[in-house]
Amino acid sequence: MNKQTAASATGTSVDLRVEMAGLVLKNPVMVSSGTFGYGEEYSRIYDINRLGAIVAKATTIRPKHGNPPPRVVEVVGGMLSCCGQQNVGLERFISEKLPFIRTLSVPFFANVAGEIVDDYVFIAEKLCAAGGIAALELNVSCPNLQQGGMAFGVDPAAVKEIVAAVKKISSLPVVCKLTPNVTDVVAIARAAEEAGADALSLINAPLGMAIDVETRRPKLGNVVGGLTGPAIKPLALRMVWQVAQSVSVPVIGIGGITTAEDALEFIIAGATAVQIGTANFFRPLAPLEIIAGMEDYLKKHGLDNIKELRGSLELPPARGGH
Amino acid sequence: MQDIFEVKAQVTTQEKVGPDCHLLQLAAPQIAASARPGQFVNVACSRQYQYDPLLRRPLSIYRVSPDTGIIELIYKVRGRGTELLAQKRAGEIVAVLGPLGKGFDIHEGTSRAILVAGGLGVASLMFLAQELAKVALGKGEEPYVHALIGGHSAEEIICVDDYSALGSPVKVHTWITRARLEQELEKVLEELSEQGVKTNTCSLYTCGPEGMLRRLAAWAQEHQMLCQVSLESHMSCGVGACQSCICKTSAGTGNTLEDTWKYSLVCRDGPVFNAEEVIWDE
Repeated sequence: MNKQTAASATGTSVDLRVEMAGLVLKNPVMVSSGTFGYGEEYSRIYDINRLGAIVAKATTIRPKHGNPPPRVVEVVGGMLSCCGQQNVGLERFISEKLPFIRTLSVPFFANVAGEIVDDYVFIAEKLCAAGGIAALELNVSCPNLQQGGMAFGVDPAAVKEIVAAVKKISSLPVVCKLTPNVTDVVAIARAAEEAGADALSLINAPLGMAIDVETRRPKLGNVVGGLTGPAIKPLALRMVWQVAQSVSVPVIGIGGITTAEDALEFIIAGATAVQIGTANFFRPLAPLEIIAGMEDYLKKHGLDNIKELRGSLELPPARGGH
Repeated sequence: MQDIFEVKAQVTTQEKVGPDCHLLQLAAPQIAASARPGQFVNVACSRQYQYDPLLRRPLSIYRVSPDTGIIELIYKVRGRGTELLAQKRAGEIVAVLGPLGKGFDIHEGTSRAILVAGGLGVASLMFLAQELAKVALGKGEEPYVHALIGGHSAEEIICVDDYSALGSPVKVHTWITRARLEQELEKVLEELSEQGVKTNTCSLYTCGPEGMLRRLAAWAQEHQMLCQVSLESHMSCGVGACQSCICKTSAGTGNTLEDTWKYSLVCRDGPVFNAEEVIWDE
């Protein structure tokens, strides 16, 4: 092979586009809710239009102060956090944040959080009417509040109720974000799919805790908080794999993804797209590195299209029972 | 909005400047060219793809040299992250994000600036002292800056020579213990009074332990001085996304929260705040 042919064989011909919930993302690399603000923060570092999609931090009807400090504790391979959904509230999200969001060419997902089903419906209606949002991600799983999100996400019937209620009024695609703090994530995933969710994203943060042995006090102001970062990747990958096999809607993998290899594991396990979360905090260019790394991987393995990789997990022959 | 740069910066030197205190020089031209006094950088201490510690460490920018592209950071070894950072030698690469945060406001109309640094607080005030010295040269007033550098012990007083090297626009005072700081402040007030300078035309800038900041904020208010404080906090992202580094501030107009306060982010809304905005913990 001469140099020129070699160059064209490794050219920019790989296709990272994915379709999901009626949207086309130019690559499967999204950034997750609560780790990317409203996009403005990271737009000072790089061109955020290069991302597959952005998910805004959770929006509640009223502004929220969030939890008292300390809100974050570093643990081995991850962090515990309990921010308590500090946000500007629906009204100011629409008046102050949407104008910037509308200037972006990247699909922007709102993340909706509430304490009763009507909250989700109310916020969804307003956001659909406001314009500038590509999809809604329902936060039925935020682990940080003493009441609210958590109660919905662990109960298939409650998840079904919220998703169905929002789907009924929404002109935008609806993604349901699932909590890992359940015994059977597949049952919850199926409930969301049956209620009409256009896609599922998982996992939200598993609950964790850390104690200062000198004072015998919890290290977090809220006692418990969500564990995120590389530490949770195997747990997330297992759940994404289980869910992807059990539903027919697209699955978005989330949990500790820091490198292209991490992201590829989720795609091979069956995810259509991935969300980068905590890595944004300690490797701000991680999403761009992951996009580049995915391209390199496809080229190296002679694949033209990321879709060829989706769900391509090779399982060993069944063991036992012979 | 100011651009933020992620720089793979080469260590040019690292030296010890006090007990557990290090001065780290890095080649980060984009940051050196755009940083302002009071801003900081978020520094990766662990090796790439090693997640212990996971998060970066926010360090004050001590000085920059736009000509050579060097930024200087002063930090104290306090835990695993800074221990690893202290092992970096010339030639090694460190990932640095910056410049971050809102720095000090330099009021050209200020007749005198008083800088109070407690312990490692010298790290965020040096760059300011440098810029103020330039303002002073334009005004021809000497001394224009009173830099009060101190700490709990004599060993904690670091970087005095660098402040002194700024020359006649900067008068350096050192102090150990709260009582001595109060005496030094009294001396400054006397000097101002002798020169016919009204305290309400002066600015106070301070960085150090929270108790000191709180007392100085009250002192400045008593003398009707403009006062800016640089706060410290544990951080994760450094850019305003993770919301871990909060401090209570009074809520400005237009805030739809019914309360009179809000949580501001030290990394994005600060680390420098106008003292009257800050609601100090009980």
